[in-house]
Amino acid sequence: MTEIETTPDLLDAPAAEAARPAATLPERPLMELLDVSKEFSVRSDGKRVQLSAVNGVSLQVREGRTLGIVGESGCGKSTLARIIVGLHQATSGEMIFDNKQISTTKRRPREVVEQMQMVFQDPSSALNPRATIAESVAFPLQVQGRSSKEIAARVKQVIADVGLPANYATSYPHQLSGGQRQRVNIARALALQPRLVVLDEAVSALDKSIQAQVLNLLTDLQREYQLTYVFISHDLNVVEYISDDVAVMYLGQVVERGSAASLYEKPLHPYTQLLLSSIPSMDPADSTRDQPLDDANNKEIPSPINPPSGCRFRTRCPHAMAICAEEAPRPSNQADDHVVACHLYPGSSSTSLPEQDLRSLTAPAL
Amino acid sequence: MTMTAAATQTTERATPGQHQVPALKVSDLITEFRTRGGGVRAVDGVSFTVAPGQILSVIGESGSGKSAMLRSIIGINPPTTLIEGKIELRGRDLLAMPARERRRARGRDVSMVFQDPLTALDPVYTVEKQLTETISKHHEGISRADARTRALDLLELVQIPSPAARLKAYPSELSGGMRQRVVIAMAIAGRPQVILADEPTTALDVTVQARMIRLFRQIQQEVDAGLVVVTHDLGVAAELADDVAVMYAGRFVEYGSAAQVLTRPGHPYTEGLIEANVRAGQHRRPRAIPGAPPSLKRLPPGCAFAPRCSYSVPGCWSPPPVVDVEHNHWSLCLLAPGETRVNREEM
Repeated sequence: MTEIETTPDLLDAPAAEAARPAATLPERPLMELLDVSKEFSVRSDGKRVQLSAVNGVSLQVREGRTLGIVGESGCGKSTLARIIVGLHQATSGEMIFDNKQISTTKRRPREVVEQMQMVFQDPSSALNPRATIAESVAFPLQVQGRSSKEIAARVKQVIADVGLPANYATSYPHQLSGGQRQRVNIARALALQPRLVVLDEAVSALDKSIQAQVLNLLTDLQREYQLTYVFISHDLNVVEYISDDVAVMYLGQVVERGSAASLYEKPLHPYTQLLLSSIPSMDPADSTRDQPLDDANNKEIPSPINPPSGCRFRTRCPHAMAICAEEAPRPSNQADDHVVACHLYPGSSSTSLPEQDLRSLTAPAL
Repeated sequence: MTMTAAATQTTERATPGQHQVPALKVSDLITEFRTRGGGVRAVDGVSFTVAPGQILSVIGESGSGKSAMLRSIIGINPPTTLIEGKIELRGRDLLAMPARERRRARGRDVSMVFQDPLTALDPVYTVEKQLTETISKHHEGISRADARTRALDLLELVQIPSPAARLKAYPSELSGGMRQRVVIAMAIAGRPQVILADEPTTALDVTVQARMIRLFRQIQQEVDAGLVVVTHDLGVAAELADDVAVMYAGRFVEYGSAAQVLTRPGHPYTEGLIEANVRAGQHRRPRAIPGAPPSLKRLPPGCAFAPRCSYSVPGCWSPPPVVDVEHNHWSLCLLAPGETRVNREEM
């Protein structure tokens, strides 16, 4: 690789073009999803049916912050990630990115593609085994038609940014450990100087110690470059640590969202409560291994091909009532931008329940 | 249900009696893989016992030899693998048995649950076919009808809803949690004395994992087997295990009760594993263990962890002693008990 003296100038050039907003308005949403849905056409019992993977999702990500998305497998979080970066085209819905409206159902304009990148779960299969690290990192820059001089400088910079020694540039993926490979994937995602990075289970396949390194790298990079993250994971501990805001998904819908602190301290939705109570405790004194299996929670997650009517969680919900089968709960703001879609809370039902009923329903004895 | 009695009896952590014959006793187990570059010792002199009804959890990073150890016990390492030491099932040494008897014991007396229930099951056969095949292997001469009844019993035991319908299902028609239940049913089909489990909940969702931990416990009590669970998840170990062993570079470097090891670690490596974990509500930047696990082909002299250890002293370059940290809690570290450790990083 050729050494280029004017590295810093070249690096700043594209950033200046993109006209980064001043740090005076850090709280405005960089990206907003409005009523995004995605249906897949699948075959079930020989018939073509619609699978609703994402259903009416509205979310915001604040500039320079991290939105965590949690949920069990099949809840649509990965589909949502792919819709955000444009790898899937949504069936309906809009996106607002940097105050500009972008259709989620059509191909993206190039300048938007550049500003959103994605890091995938499996660091090995995400890299071309026959390309060197430098070639892999350079690829998105080449696709976007950058000059070879600029590419060389940028590759050098991002490889250093993710904490890899410069001589790894000529290595191949198999010569690297899993943690190092994930660093390469992060470097490649950062090559185009995106403003939004979607991380889909980006640390889930790593050993805990390596996971710690990569998490620390991600938080350092975020601070340094004012990056905005959408962090998708099934690991509730990691999501709480890295996220400013958290959204909980169940069967394609967001059932609760709020700041990480308020959502973890005071989960409102029965599904969020179930998720958080399922985190294994690190203290053997809190072991639940000898508690009897309760049948209420022993239900399977229903199929997104034919989701339950009304509230989709009602088949597993210990608080389910008649209205839950009839009417889908609407998202309602409970406090400080802590939004929940559940008939147990005021504002989620079209007809409000008498307050007495609500109190008895939310009693912790259940 | 049949298990409720067993479940209520064991509201407190079992303290396995010292007098009884251990379900599994492993002594100085060595597992060496033959490679072109010479022997690679994945397991290097591991000894432990598991009593009936007891759960031992083995924790450590990938490549520490956890899985190789389980595979040596159940006998599914490549045929060229060199295995030394003693593996005793209720007092009978597996490695000294005639080959025929050993084959019968493995699978029936000691069984294994793998991480991924989808690859552990054959996609082209129904649950019934796979379960009854296992049952008739373990009970020679059993009739088809009896095998089917037994299969139904097993599915009921692992609490699969509408078991008769599930017997007819193919693995692809079941959810991840249901598949893992079928795998567990197969593992207990021969009423094993020892169940080995390699990351049994890692592929499962957290709500399913929480249920599986309880189910595992109930079933293991029901069949009164010793259970060895390999996991990288300290939370799973804390929830499930009586005792915890920490493995590094093919050796146990710390052993004790789950509470001792996970809340009062004696070995710097265990401490590192705990500090690398992110826990909800702690808001603490995780601390990664510096460096990477050593190559098993070129282990450093003395303590294998010394090059990554922030407390290491010159004495660490000679073989580390086994030091008692507390009663029934030891650590393979020069600096284990009450020593004033100096953390080089914090100096």
